[in-house]
Amino acid sequence: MTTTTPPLRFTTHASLRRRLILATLTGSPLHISQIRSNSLKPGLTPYEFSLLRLLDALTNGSLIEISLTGTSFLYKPGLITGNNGKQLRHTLPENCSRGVTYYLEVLALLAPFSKSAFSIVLDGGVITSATDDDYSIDTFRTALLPLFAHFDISRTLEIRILARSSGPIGAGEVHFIHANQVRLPKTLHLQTPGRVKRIRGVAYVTGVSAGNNARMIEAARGVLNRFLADVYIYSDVKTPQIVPMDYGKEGAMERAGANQKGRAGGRTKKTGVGFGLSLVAETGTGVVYASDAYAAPSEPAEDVGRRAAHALLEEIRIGGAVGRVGATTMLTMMMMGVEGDVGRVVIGKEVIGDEFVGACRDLKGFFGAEIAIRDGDAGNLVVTIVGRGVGNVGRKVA
Amino acid sequence: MLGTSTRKRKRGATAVAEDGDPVLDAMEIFKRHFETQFAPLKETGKKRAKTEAKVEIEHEWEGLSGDDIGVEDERAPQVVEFDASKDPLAVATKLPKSILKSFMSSKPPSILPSAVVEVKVKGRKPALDDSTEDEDPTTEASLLKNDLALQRLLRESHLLDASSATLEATGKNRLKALESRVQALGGKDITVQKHSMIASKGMDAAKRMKEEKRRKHAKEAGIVLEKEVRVKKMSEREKTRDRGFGPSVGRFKGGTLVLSKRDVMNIEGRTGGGSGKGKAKGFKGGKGGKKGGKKRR
Repeated sequence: MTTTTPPLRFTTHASLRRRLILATLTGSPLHISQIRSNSLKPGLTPYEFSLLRLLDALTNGSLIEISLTGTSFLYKPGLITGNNGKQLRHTLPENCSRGVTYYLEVLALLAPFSKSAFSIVLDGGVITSATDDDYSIDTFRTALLPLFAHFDISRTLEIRILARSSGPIGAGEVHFIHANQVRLPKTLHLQTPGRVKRIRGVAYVTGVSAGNNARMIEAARGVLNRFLADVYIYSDVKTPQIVPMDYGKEGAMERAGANQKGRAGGRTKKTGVGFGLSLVAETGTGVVYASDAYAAPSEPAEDVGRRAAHALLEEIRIGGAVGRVGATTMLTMMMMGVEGDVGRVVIGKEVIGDEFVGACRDLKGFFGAEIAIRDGDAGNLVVTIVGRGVGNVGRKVA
Repeated sequence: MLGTSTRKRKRGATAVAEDGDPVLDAMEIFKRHFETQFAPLKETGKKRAKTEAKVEIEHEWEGLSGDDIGVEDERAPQVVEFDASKDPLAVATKLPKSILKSFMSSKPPSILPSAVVEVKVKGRKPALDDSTEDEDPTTEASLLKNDLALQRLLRESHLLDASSATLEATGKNRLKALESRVQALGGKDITVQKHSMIASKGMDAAKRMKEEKRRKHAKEAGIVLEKEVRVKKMSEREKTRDRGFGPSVGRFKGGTLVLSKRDVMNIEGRTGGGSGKGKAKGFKGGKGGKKGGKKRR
């Protein structure tokens, strides 16, 4: 069946992850070429290879053909089986520059449509803090995963942070459990953004003084308390990971071998040292806005806290019933919904950017359906999506 | 000290007033703006304006007077002492520990409005529920309750007699009803009496005979009876059937996979044998030989 359909063709590495997700969900083959073909380091990056490997492990019958230089590949997705409900350990490359949420977002979107439950441990170069491109794992847990509750997906959903680690070279460990598989997600009608009722957050430090947490929290509260009394920021203090001296280079862990535990004969270092702040604002109607800030080298904690608070206020200003963090996730889930059912969601005008437009185009390419956008109240936009009823192929009855 | 300071400020104010009344102008602008936004100002505003005008006139005349000082005191900046620790907004809200814990657990926090409300009114909810349940018969819970009661009544109605006024069985019948409920939930039937094997065998046989007789009479009279439920006897083959997992080809015996010649041929895709009786016999012999050989190893 899939062999006869020609693959969807794209070029460059732009939004590679989203295209892989959509291809896997819809089961349509995907061909991407000219991946960094003009770069000094042509082809797929280690973290993209790792993503392909992860997809291969989660599906049954996938076919991935990568060209010699890695500048193009063909991906024929199989059935999402989730390793038949058994625990899967996926090791990210040590020099992975993306945060762990890069992978977790994929897992969160694929898991509801899996044949069996997801239980995946991510280790290796896991960065749990926010990075330049990705938000932190706390934002993922407190802002992205709750979005799935709107689609009736909230049972047995867990994300355990076994070891925290900050960038640029991480060594954390995360366990993702998702046992709420559905046939089709519920149709979404989210039209009332509501007013922000409370703000929660997590301040995390790894390997630096816990005082940084207190300072970040103080600064963030200083900004936010002028608008709202119900601000509560939790503090999480963790030790850094001890790794071999040459960790971060290709294959350092293999070279260290059995010696990687403990002090490894004195040739070790601490990795993943840093701190950051994740903030989440919740409205009375269950809408979530999130922001993240992560300490740049030698940046004072107060600045980080203030930056996060201002970013959160900016998100709240943009408004809508779904923040920028979860907008594309929401669109994809709505597309997967019951065939013919019309779902509506209100978004802020400024949510529409490169990312959003790109997502709409990709959705059109994979699902063959367009998204209708019209003006709503209070300067917001109403996005209307007709479900395509793709749903879960592995579960004809659920 | 205070007197001197007000005096100083006043002097400054007079100077400004004499220059071109920017203070007054500002007040006037504010007033007009306010009036356009809301209703036109009455007594107080006018009075204030008047006094101000008066002050201004006075200022024009000479500057200082007793009347003036009072007005100036009114206009003096209000001192507000700000203490961050006493600020109601800044004081951390003490949350119950359960909520704190639930946020920092490994599960995503529940944010849907229903869940939030549930947590908030937890303390008072049960009492509220009870009162509403008795009064309002249209709630989902009470409807369900009534439904269950009706079903139970229908099931046990045969135990009720005409003499009983209530809808609850009494005495012996109550016990019978209880027993039937236990059985409906999967309990054992305790009304069945225990007999010796011989006695129960005889009883069973008598039961069977009675049934047979009934069926026979019915057949003779041409009455159609309900279908007979026959207990299927397990055949010998079914009893000894190999359950569980086995190899798709050959037999697994003594830790070795035994392949017959036929199996081998099937795997190789050759077709042979099975045509003649003699050949088939030959196969059997061969198979036996092979089996023996494997066993010896």
